[in-house]
Amino acid sequence: MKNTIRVERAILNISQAELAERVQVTRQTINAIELEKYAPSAVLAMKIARVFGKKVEEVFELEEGD
Amino acid sequence: MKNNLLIVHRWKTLGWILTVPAFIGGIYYLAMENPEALIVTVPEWLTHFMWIDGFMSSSASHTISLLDEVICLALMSGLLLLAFTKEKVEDEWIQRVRLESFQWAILVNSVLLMAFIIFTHGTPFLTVMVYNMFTPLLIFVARFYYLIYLKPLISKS
Repeated sequence: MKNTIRVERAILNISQAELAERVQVTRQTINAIELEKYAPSAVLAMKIARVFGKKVEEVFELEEGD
Repeated sequence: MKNNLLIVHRWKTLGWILTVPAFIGGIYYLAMENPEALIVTVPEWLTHFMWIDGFMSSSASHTISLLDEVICLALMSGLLLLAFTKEKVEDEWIQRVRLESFQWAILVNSVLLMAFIIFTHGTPFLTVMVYNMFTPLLIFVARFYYLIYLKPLISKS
């Protein structure tokens, strides 16, 4: 699953650690999601999208093979 | 996702306090080839409930060294605390790493054990079994803490 978290963070000018704190996970989790090594649960994806004020589909996108 | 088998984070400190000295003590114990310390005399009545010198019951009282028991119990309880305490923030990615590390530990341990079954014969196999008491937990702890703390640091720098 692809995502635009890095871009969205740059727009909001927040670090991985700040985003992690806002959605109550570790910085490593945000890092793993950004690097697309980990696909978050629906709940976490919605929480992340809410921080950016966007819909989940605008931040996360299914890839071929998902 | 709730995991009821995990205990609170603050026990992790005790886990490290037990594991590190017991690990060093264990290496010392094996290097010195079974040194004796903490010698106690087992009262006669207790020997009937213990397995000493290969026999289930004995009428004589025995003196035994408790050093290996203390090292083994400290190492095992320390590793268990490290494996079964929550992280400060126990989130879904950490839960996944935890599950994968347990699977990894069992797999690696089993493969290693199978190799040792093929290549070790006679009494040396007992030494293998001594190590094998701790390897599943050791592999788990090494991999879990590497992925949670060390790898992000390495990839950052």
